[in-house]
Amino acid sequence: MRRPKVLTLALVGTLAGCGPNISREAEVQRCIDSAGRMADEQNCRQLPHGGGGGGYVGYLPMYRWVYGGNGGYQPGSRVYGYSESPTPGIDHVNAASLAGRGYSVGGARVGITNSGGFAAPSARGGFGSTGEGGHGGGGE
Amino acid sequence: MRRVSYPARSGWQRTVESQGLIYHTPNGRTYWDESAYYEFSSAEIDKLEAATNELQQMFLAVGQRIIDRNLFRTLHIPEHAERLIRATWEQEPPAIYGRMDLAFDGTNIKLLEYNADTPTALLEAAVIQWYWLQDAFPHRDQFNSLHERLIAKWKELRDYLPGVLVFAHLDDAEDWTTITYLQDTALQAGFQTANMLIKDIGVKDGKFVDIHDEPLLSCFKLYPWEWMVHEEYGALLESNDTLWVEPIWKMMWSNKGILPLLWEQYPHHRLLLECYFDSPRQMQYYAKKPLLSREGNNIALVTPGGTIARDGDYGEEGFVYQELAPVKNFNGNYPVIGSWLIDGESAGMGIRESETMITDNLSRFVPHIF
Repeated sequence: MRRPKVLTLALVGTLAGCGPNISREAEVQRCIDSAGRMADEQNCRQLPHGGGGGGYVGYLPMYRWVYGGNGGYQPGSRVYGYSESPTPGIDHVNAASLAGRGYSVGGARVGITNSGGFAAPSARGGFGSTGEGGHGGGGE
Repeated sequence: MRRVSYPARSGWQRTVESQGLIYHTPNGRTYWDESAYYEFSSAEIDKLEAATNELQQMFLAVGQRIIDRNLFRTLHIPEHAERLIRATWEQEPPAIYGRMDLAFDGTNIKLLEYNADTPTALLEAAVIQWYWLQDAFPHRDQFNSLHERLIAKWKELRDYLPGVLVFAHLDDAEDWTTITYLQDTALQAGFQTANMLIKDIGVKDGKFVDIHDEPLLSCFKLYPWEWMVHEEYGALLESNDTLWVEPIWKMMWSNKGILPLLWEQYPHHRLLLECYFDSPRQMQYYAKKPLLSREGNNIALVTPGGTIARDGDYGEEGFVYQELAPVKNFNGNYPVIGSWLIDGESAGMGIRESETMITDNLSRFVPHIF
């Protein structure tokens, strides 16, 4: 089996339920480890302000905050397509907050409702990465 | 079985394009090749049909053995997929189609492999060669009931597959053609259908959704299970109720590891080639195939004339060693029979021929008559 050496994000997460109840969007902030997996956010909260840390694995900090992307909200989940810095002019919401509300996986942004709750986020791009790795088709 | 040179129809490119085959000459190489055809006797067709049905029964028996004896790790199938395979094997969700690749020299039939999960070259086999027959030999016949059987099978499934039947695939010309044709047959059977790229399948509240964020209830995916289970959303398959066609148990059959398991269960069977997991053992000439290779990649043939090998990125899961097949050489052309099954029964065939004994994505599709 072939797996792509670079996992590409096919489509950024889309905002679900863009109805009148949604007042604004917020970008998902995730704490990841050097392998690109979700980590306990406590690891990132202990970092020096604005930087990664907790030691280094090669050139990568052991833990760091990333923004947007697709993937699960629980520690251990793989995250794809994130940015190392927040998008200017938009709030962020921690993945742990979403996980605490029962959302297991989602995209780059979520909707914030007028009542201050989260709209259910939908994510895309979790299938297709192997075939998008320059292989050609999925059939044979 | 014989190969006959024959003049191509005037303007054949426009003709096959109008019938949906847009990649007849990819990158300037002939894919649809009507400068020749293969002619079979009725007895040979009967033999191929019977062999295909017999092999299908053997695959069912080996599938049951994999489950009963827990041979999933042998096939490098991960644990979360194993649970789904066991469940779907018992529940028997819809399975539409598959293609066995057979070596045939006019006398002996040998199974090369079974593309049970994501076979393509379906439009060519079902439609394009049939229209060619009508133009070239209207009074002859062809082993081909694919179109009717596909529609009949979809009709059977009308009450079983809920919601819109979504066809998901990669952005690839060959896949697009196959999926559009299958979607067309489902439409003709009365389904409401939709089409989307596999990467656009979404997740909302932990459930798979379509491009409009509507629940994905029924999905035909032209995308290999061995890829899906390892990708990000693979972990969500168990907690979702989406009905996938083909079902996940097809992972067992499309894995090359099924070949040594068949040989173990049916040693020296006339339709099988000797095959082992660990090494070629006593075989002097053999094919070394990765468990999960596709399109002929990473296959090496050790032949009396030397070794023929294809590069690729497969093989990390291991290899099988299969006796060299008796693929007949017709003046430098090596044909492989793609024997199609619809709903588990032999339903027609298409022939791909190559200039070497490895059939790959450059092999030509050549029509047939009997």
